[in-house]
Parts: sequence; C-alpha cells; structure tokens
Amino acid sequence: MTAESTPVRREDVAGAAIDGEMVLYDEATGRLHRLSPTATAIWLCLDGSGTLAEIAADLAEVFGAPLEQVQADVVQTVKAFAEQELLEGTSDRTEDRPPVREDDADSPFVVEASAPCPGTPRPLASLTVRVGSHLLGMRFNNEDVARAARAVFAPSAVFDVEAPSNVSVVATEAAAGRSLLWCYRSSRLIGRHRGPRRAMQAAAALLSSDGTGHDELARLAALLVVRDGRAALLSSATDGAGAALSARLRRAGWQVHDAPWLGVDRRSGEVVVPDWAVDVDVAALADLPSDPADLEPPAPGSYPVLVWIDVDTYGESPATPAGRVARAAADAVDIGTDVAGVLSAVELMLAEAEWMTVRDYDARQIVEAVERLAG
Amino acid sequence: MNYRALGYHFSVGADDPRLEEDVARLLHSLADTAPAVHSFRITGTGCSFALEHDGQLLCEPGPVSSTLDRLISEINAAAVASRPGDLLVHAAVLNIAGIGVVLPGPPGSGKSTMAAALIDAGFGYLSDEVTAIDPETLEAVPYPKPLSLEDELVAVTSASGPVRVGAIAFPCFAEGAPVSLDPMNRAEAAIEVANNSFNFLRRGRELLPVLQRLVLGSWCGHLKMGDKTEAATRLAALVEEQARCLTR
Repeated sequence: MTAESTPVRREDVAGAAIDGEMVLYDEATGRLHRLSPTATAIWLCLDGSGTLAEIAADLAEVFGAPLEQVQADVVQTVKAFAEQELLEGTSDRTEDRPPVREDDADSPFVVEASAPCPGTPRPLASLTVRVGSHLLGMRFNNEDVARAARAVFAPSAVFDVEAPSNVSVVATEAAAGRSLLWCYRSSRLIGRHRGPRRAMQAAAALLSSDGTGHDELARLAALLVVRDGRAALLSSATDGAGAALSARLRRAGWQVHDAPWLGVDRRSGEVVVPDWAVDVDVAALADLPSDPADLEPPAPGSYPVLVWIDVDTYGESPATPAGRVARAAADAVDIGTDVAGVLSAVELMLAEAEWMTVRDYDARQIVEAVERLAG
Repeated sequence: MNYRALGYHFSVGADDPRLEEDVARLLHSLADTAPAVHSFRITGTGCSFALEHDGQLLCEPGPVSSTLDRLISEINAAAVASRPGDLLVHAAVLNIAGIGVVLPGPPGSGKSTMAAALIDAGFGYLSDEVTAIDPETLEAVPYPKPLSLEDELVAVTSASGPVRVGAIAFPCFAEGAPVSLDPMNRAEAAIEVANNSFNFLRRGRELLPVLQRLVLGSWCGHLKMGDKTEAATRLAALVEEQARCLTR
C-alpha cells in the first residue's frame, strides 16, 4: 500500500454512521468494526476516485493538518483496513489472523479525540462593523488578515466599540507552505478558502446574513451550491464530512454559498442569494490576492432549485410530498414564528425540484447524482 | 389454554389438572385467543413430569421445576424463531410514559432483577428475556413471559402494548455500589446491542440500519446499580425527561 494506491472499500461491507463514527458489518466474516472519526473520514473517501495521496490532500485541507502527517496516517489506516480484509482485492483471508483490538493505540478502530479542527481563534485583532441597525464583531488570529478586513470593511467600520464576535476568520498553515482561511459564524465552520479576497467575500456574506431582516425570504438551514444558473440544496451538511463534500462539489465546478442558511422567495419558490447588506470598499477587495483554487461564490440573484438532496443518516427520508415539505422546512430559521409561510414557500420550492435521498455523506454518490441531474 | 409468544402460537396442556392451572397462572400474560399451531404437553403426575412438543418427547420425566424451566426455555427459543425479520436482542424491556427502556445483557447481568424492580416502580412490562424490535416502526413488541428470578419463575401481572424505544441502558449490578446512569457513545452502544443480539450476526446487513436508527433515537448508557429500587427511580426520571423532550 503506497500513496499512489487507489484502494476501494468492499461493496458488501455495510456501514452506518453513528455520532460521527462508522460501524461496519462485514457480511463475509460476520464481524463488526467501529471506526474512529478520522478512520471514518478516510473510509468514506475509499470510493476508487482518488489515490491515497489525493485523499490525504483533501483531508489535510479539510482538517487543516500538515499534509505529510495526514498522508502517513491515511496510508497506515488503509493498511489496517486491508489487514481486516475490508477492501476490494484483500480477500485472501487467513482465519488465524488476530483481530484488531479496540484498545490498540495504533489502530484506526480505536475511539479517539474528535477530528482536528482549527476552532475559533484566540483573537489577535478585532473589528466592529455596522450592518443595517446592528453592530457586529469580527475576530482574527492573523494581523495580515485583520489588515485586509479593515481595508475592505472601512466604509462600515465602527470605532471605539467592540461588538461581540459574530464572524471569525482563522488563518492556518496548510500543505506546501500555502495558508488556509477558515470562516466561522460564531463557532460554526462555514467555509475555508485559499485567498484573502475570497475569505473577505465570505465574511461579507456572513455579516449580511446576521445583520438584516429578510422578510421576503423563508430561511432554510441547508447548503446551497449553484452551477449554470441552477441550484442544488443539501440538508444538514455541516460537519467534517459535509465540508469534504462541498470541497468535491467545488472541484466539480459548483459554486458554494457562504451563508449558513439560504433564502426561499415566498412568491416564486426560487432560492435567493441576497446582495451584501454590509458596505465594502470594492476597490480594496479587488486589490486583495486571490487563489485560483477558490471558486467565486454564487452571484446575488434568484435560482430555480434543481434538486433537494436529503442527507438521510437516519434511514427515514420521507416519501410523500407533504412529508418532504415538512422535512425540508424542519430546520427553517423562522419555523417557530411563521409555520404556514415557511411551509408554503418550501412547497413552492420543491414543486419543480427532484428529491434525492443519500446516505452518510457518500461524496461520490452525491456528486455523481447531482452531475446526472444537471445533465 | 392457548398462548402467543411473539409470533409463536401454542397451547399447553397437562395430565395433572392442578399443574395445568398453575401453568395457566404462570403464563397468563401470554394468553391469546388465536388458534394454537403447536402444542406442549406435560405428562405424568405426582412428582415426576415429562415434556412433549407436538407429540414428540422433549425431556425425560423429572421434577416439576426443571420441566417448567425447560418449557419456558422452549417457548423462548420458539419466540425468537417466530420473528426473524426483527432485531432480536437478549434484553429486558419495559415501558414508562410511553417510552420503551431496553436493558440488554447476558444471563446473570441483572436484567430480570432490574425488570422486577422497575415493575414495582410502576413500569409496564414487555419482557425480561427477548426484545424484538420491529424494523419498520422501531417498536419493541411485547413478550411478557414469566420473570426468571434466581431459581423461580414469577408470573407477571403488568403488561404493555408495543412501544417505541427511547432508552437503552446496560445494567451492571454490584452489591453496595452507588447508582449511576452514565451516557455512552452510541456507536459503542450499537456494537454492544449487536453483540447481545440473537440474529444480528446472521442478518447484519439488513439489521444494521435498524440498529442505527434504534440507537440514534435513544438515550444510551450504563446503569450501575447497588440499590435496584434507587436505580429504578433514577431510570424512571431519565425516561420521563426523554418523554418530555419528545413531546415538546
């Protein structure tokens, strides 16, 4: 097993995601395996679409960890999968092979601490901006990033006031000497970017989503991706596997919306990417370095919904139109105050959309299905 | 007299009419009006009894206690075989506030003792031996067999209809130990439930999604108990809190 290997997980090994860990059932041996969160992420990537080096690069980006360390971990973990005969082409079973023990410190099957995450920064710098009638706080762990933000948000900056933190931009070192910029709303990771220009665009979208009322929109908690003027929506794509999925969609040319929610036009049922509600210095933004790996966010406007992708880890995806409306509306921001209005908007949105149920953030399955629908 | 154990319909007769009455009292919570498909018969009188099933001798004549133990053991096995599509767990299951509490564990782990304490605390009784989880509804199907306590079988009067499982507690009895209810990782709970299952290792592929939904919809943890009465009170409080959360 080397970094250039392209191992594939066995089709007949069943898996179930439970609280971020994967429980595997090997039909051939009748054995159960419990994967750590990191091993789970690696397992989900073993779909034959990439080498271990490519998988390691993806995970290093997602988790913000050094590439060399991640690559070594990936190779070691996949070797352990092979020893347990969980991969295609590893069926030369030896009955006397000792099982992997869950307390083996080097085993991917152990329970370990949560996946590495940059977390919110210990702030080295802050900025307060006015968005509509609100004062919102930004935090940075890097002076260069803070300087860029002060330039971009100069028209809306407020001095002598330090608002509580709404948006954080965290810089970390990534592979090959390049940095990554992680954008958080409160403590929730919303996106990661290569270039400062794209990170500031994301910050502007996050500030806008927090700072203004959007009475004309029903707001749903879902990930919005856009290509060729059409939208795909993913339910609940918020954890590390969701971040890996959005990375794959980006590579397939889909633009990922920065906000933690998307708006549905109550009259048309189309999803809406609103204009920024925060004033920015457009020239300062344009002057910031950009990275070709960063895709532009979807432009402000309305998009018809091609597909709602129901990430169904509970096995209970609804089959009826009414059930689907209820499911999609369940996490709506305003469901507590405007049930009828939200349900009506979601029903309109889903009327012309496909409903797709996928399991456990299987990135390949999702991307392929979205590609098929997009024609 | 006709009875039903999960999907197994049977009758029990005895040569000794007083023994037949005793068996009827013991099995009254399994009584059923549907026609019996299989029959047990306890032959002999006095102090030596044999057990037949559908006319075939199952066990040689012996004391009544061992004959009844064998009868219950045969009914357990037939009950498990009668619902092969369910997730069948070696577990007690009880109900309070409309929520099922599953207590998985091997023989001797304290399932029946805890079940008796929970019945005293007001829980409805579904089983002290087999928890059959319907894969569609995730409801535990009642199998209210007599409680197997120490060396005796105890008839139960408390029974319940199918209930949705809301808590899975792995009991651990330790004399004098303080009572504690400690949440556990639900992936770990899934593995433990599977390891206590009658049929998971044969049908794991189809039962894994059922197991996943079961643990994701339940509080999962370890119930360490020295005082079973206090443990019952704590478990009742936990489940009632679960019920309140579900109805909010």
